[in-house]
Amino acid sequence: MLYSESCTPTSHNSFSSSSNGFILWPQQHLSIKDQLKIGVRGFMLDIYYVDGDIVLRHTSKSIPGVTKPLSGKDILFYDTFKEFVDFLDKKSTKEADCSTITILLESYVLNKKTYEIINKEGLADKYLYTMNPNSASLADVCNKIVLFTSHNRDMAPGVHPPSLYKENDYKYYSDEFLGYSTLNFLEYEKCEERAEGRAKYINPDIKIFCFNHFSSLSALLTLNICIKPILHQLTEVVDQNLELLNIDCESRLAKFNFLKPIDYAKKSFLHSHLDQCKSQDIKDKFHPTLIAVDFIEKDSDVFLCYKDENCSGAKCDFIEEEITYDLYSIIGTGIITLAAALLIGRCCHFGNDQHDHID
Amino acid sequence: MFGGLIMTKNTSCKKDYTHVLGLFEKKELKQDLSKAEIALVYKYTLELTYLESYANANNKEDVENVSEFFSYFCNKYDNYSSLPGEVHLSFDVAYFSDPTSFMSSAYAASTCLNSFE
Repeated sequence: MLYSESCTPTSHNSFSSSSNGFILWPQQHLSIKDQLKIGVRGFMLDIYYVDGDIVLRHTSKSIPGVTKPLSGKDILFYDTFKEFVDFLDKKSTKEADCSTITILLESYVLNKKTYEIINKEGLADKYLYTMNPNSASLADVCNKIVLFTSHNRDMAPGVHPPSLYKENDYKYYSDEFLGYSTLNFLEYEKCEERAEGRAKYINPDIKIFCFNHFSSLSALLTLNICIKPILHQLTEVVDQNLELLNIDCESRLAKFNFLKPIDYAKKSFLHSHLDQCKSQDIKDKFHPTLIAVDFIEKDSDVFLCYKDENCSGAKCDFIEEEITYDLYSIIGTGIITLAAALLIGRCCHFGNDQHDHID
Repeated sequence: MFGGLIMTKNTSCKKDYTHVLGLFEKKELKQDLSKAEIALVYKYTLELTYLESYANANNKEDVENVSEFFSYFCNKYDNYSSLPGEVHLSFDVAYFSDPTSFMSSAYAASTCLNSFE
C-alpha cells in the first residue's frame, strides 16, 4: 500500500491547544502527546524563528494565552519533534508495529535552519523520510517522519516543498458590500485548491492530498473561546470516572447534553465537505491522505470517516490508547481559563473592528 | 447562529504607518527603542498581521505603504538580524509568504535585499 493511499488523521494547528495554555482561541483541546495516543498521525504546525530557536506560535506575535502558551514560554519545535521521535521509538520496540508521522509546516523559517535545528542530535537524518513521499510505500515510511514545508525559498534534506502535496483552500468567503467586506461563515467552504505553492489538483504525479476541514465557524464561537475548553475537559473527566464506576453514563448524562461541546467535525459536516471535493472530480479516485480538523478527539468523526469507504475512499482501523486525565491540573486550567476569559471579556476588544485571521 | 454574515471595515495602514515612521525619523541609526516606541511598533506589526491575512495584494496604496515601512527598516538597519524583534518577525512573514500574498508583494516592492540566507 502506498503512503499516499493511507489514512492520516490530522490535527489543524495541533499545538494551539487549551491543554497547552492557549486559552483564547484554542484550536485543539488535547496535547500533542494525547493526540498521538488517540491515533492522530498528522500535525499541522506554524513555525517562527525567535531568539535563535524555532518556536510554535499562532501568528508571529507574542501574546501569551493567544498566540503562545499563557505561561509566556514558547513551545520549541525541537521539543515537539522529539515527542514524535519518542513515540516512534516506543512503537518500533513492539514487533510489527509501524507508524508514520506526517508534519505539515506553515513555515516562516529557512528550510535549512529547520533542518539544522531538528538535526542537532542527528534526529533529522535518522527520522526524516528524504525521498519523494508520493511514491513511497507504507513500508518505506515505517517509523519515519514525513515533513512538508510551506515555502520553497531554499531546500534541505527531508524538508519537502509544498509542491509535493495538494490541499483544499479553507479561507472564508468575502464580498464587498457598501465599502465593507462581508465574510460569510455559514456558507460551506468549497473545495477550491489551495495555491501558495501546493500542487495543482490536475497534477497526476502528486497523490498526497491534505483535506483541510478547518472550521471557520469554530473560530468564532464565544463558547469555544471562553467556555468550551473547561466544559470539554470536565465532561471528559466526568465521563471517564462514571465509566470506571460502571455507572450508566449515557442515560444519566443525557439530560446534560447541552453541556457537551459542539463537535465541529461532525460526520455530516465532514461528509458533505468531502463530497464537494469528490464532485469536482479532482482525482480519478479521490482519497484524502490527511484529513485535518480542529478539536480532534477520540470519537471525532474523522476516524469514523476513515473507516467508511463511502466517506473517505479508504478503510482504515485505528488503535487508540486510553488517555488518563489529571483532574487537578484540569480544574486548575479551567479556573485560569475562566478568570482570563472574564478578564478579557471585560477589558479587551481585541483588534477593534478587525478580525484576526487564524489559520 | 450569527446571521451568517460578519462585516469588517476595509482598512488602510497609512495612518499608523506614518505615525510609526514619524517616530523613527527622530531616532539615530540603531539606537535602542524605548518601551513606548516598541509598543508602537508592536501595534503596527499587529496591523501587519491583519493585512497579511486580509489585505489585497492588488491594493497599490497599501502595498506601497507597507513596502516603504520595510524599506525604511532596511535602510536604517544594516542587516536582517539586527532588526528589532517584532519587526524581525514581520520580515520573516513577508519573506516566506507565498509570492502572490500581500506581505510578500510589499516586501518584493521594497528596497530590501535578500538578507535571509
